[in-house]
Amino acid sequence: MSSPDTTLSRRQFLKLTGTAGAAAVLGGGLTAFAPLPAYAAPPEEDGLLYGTCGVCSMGCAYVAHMSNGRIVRLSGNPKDQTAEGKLCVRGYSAIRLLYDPDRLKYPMKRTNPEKGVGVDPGWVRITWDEALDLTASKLKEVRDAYGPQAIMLVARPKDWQKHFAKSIGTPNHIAHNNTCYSTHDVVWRAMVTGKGKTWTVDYEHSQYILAFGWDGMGKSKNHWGRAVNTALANGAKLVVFDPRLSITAAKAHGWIPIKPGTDLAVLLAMIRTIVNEELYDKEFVANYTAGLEQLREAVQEYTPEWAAGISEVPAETIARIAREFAATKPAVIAHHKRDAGGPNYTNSWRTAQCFVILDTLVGSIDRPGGHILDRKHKLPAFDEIFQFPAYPDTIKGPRIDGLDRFSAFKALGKGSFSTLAEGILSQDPYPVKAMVVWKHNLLAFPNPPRMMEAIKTLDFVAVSDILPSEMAQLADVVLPDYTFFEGSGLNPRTYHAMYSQVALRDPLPPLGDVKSFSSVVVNVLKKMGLGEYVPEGMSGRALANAQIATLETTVEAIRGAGGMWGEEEPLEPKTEFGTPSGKIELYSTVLEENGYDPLPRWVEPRAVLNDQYPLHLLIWRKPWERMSQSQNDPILAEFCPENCATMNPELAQKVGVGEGDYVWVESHVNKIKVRVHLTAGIRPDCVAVDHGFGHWSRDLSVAYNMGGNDGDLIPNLTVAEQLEAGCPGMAALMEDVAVKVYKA
Amino acid sequence: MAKAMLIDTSNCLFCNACTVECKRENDVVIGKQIFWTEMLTHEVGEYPNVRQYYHKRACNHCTEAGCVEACPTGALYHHPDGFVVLDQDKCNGCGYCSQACPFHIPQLDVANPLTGEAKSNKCTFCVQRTANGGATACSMACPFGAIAFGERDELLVQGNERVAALQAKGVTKARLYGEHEMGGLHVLYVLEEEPEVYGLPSAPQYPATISLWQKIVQPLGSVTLGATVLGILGAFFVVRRNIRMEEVK
Repeated sequence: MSSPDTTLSRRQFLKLTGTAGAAAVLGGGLTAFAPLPAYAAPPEEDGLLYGTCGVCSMGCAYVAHMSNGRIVRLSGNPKDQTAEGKLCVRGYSAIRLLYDPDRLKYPMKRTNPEKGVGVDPGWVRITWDEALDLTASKLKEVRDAYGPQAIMLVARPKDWQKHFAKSIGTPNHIAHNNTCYSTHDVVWRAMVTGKGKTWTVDYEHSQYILAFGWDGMGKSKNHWGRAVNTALANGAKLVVFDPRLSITAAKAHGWIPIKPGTDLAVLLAMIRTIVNEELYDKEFVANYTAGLEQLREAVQEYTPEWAAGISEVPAETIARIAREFAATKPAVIAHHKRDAGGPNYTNSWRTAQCFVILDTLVGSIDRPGGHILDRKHKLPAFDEIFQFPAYPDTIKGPRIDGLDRFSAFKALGKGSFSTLAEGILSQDPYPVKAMVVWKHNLLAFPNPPRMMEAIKTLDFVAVSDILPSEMAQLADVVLPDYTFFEGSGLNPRTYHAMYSQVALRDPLPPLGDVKSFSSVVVNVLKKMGLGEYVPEGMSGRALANAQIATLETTVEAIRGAGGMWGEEEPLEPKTEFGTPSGKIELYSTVLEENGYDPLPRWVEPRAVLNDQYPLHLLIWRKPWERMSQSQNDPILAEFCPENCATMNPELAQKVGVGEGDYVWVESHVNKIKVRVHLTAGIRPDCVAVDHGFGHWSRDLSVAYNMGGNDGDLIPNLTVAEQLEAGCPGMAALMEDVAVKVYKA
Repeated sequence: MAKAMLIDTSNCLFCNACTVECKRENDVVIGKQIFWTEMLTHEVGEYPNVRQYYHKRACNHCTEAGCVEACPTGALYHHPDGFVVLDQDKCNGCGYCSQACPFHIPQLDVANPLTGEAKSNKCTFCVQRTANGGATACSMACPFGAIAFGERDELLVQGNERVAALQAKGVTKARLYGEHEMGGLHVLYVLEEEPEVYGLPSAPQYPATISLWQKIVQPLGSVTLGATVLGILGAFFVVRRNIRMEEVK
């Protein structure tokens, strides 16, 4: 599908952007941007910048090829062990985010107090002084009248963001983790690391890769797609359990279309088979683990026959895969975030726990071909570089998202998107009045319409972002932020860190009148009268300089070495782990202390299919989509303008629809209208919706009104419901919902 | 030495890194479904015994290229390195190249809605890069080892080795496509299935009329044009002579 206003070549498009932007400045609309420099004819590359991609947390190091001060091309940094000279489709496309004509380019304030879908905020351009004054005075008003807890920061838990919330004195620093990977995080912390999930997996040297809902190859994860391809070329076997034929499944030796939400049953039976038949790595288990005997006892009831009845996977298949997995070395369970062990079902955290147990039983924790523990270079912490007084005690108080009720998750210092709306609306445990949001979109919440209702009750909302997102449309003040191209500093390798290595980030001069969030933090804290938390010289630049100094090198030297710091070192397998016993705890004393059964148990999913809602909802992401942030890219929109309800022809026939027809997908909370896409590669009792679409911000000129948001179908939760679900990681239950489909 | 690309579909993850980098590098028109390279999915079988194959579809740069034969303006021609270049400045938008292509690759785009002026569109092998010692944008972009760029002889060896490895792993239908087709393609494919599964004809050929067109009709056209010009000139001189005769009288 194409619309007339996207029918432009790149050069025309950029030229027109200039004039349209200039015209809009006079009009004062949200798209009122200063013109961007247009491309000159075929660019002569005249320099380069090093940096790290901010599209996903893999953070691949890039080389930006420059011409006349403009980035014309990106390539992967060949010196980076993660990027290996390549980026992924989302990384290459980020150049169009940087130069997106719809970008937020100067601060604005709202003049229309009404908020909602289709409501014109009546934006007026203001200066940074006005924007920071307004933000600081509103936050101070709320803090003085209601206390610091009445202010929320919705942001990923990074240095400056944490410092901002803590300096204000609010416990309410809320991140998206329980919609993303909190289940993995809590079990890794409890059983192995003492500090959360590890990210590096040595797929390249694995000989047996077993995946449950993991689609790392289909999410264009740069290093992993390449590493698994290499492993396959070296004779590795890849087996994928997934209700949908994902791209990873299409590359596998076996695709097993398991019933959604039942992976745990298969895993428990696999553990039973491996333990009872003594197929585990005896040396590894004896030396580095604790609790095998208790585990053996706990899994006896979970026979492959029992698991077959639940999962619809034949018992022989389960037993065969268990034996193959244990017999082939090295073997690894592929997992990352929103796979079967992600926060999708009430039992997903037990699934994640079984992943750790199976990887441990075959000796694949911190061994070649397995999950590699943290070798991230430790740069000096924020509070080691800047001196400021202790944060107020109020940061330890109860939270509006109820995180304090989940001790095992609270210890990780993250947050819950699923419970925030009901917390705000019920004013339980107290009323909150103001919110500062940094780069989280409304569409990322479960049940965004409900979250919007909650936001509307707030007295003040400030949003720092790059694009005019739906969250920005609900703001009272918009604080335009840097893209990752415009930021600077150091980025230690985490997603593929076989050895300690740090990437340099050269800053691109910022486009438009934008400010980094660190600068917002410094200024707002000062203007709020919290100057004691902003010591003289505190800045993003100062932080980077102090960190570079600890590497005993200079920016010039790192640039001279190709933008990377750190020498390759051989992998020295760890023999001590971050648990109370120093062993990998198959019987988890940390879970026990936090009030959970220390051993894995079968747990029923929450959603039950019924006559009214007879289908499972599956959520996935196309390789080129960057959550809800890439749909405004005109090239991506050209080959994928909207998302779909992907279904089996058998289901489509029942519903009476064909390829390309519009259908409603409806859960008990909302419904969305999307086109049908047919494939034989999905269970007939499932409908799969891909994520990222359904934008209603009119200022996203390409993405506006295309497709539907899968998040609308996901119920948000109360803290009580979250407690009842029983997950220590507060899993937002992103797919634990039944739906129906009918012709639109 | 002939240059080529080797597309190893067994490594392709349908990510479209090639698509976006091609459009950026070559300034391909956006929003009109014009692609110099695009990704296709091919599905075989019924649930639950279903397989999916991914394939990068673009100009195959034939040695015996129907488009080059058919092009009346010289906009399509073979580069000395073997691949087929399209010079849009010389293209008159006649569309014969599309009809002549056994793979149905060239796309016509109405570049100017006022005059109706159209241009053909297809992969140029990133001639601006490859003619200067560089590689194609898609091969530089591909993160997963599915696109190699290099000397055709070497890629043939590499492709055949890969096919042998796949066969040894039980992919019995694995094959190399493009070694001999159309006199030898400059885009070679490692396939895991029959070519038809990927929409590639197993015995591609261009319509005989295309050859007829360039070898006979076009020269004939030139002869006819020449005769017409001569005729007009002749008439002009006859008329002028007659006028002068009138004047003399």
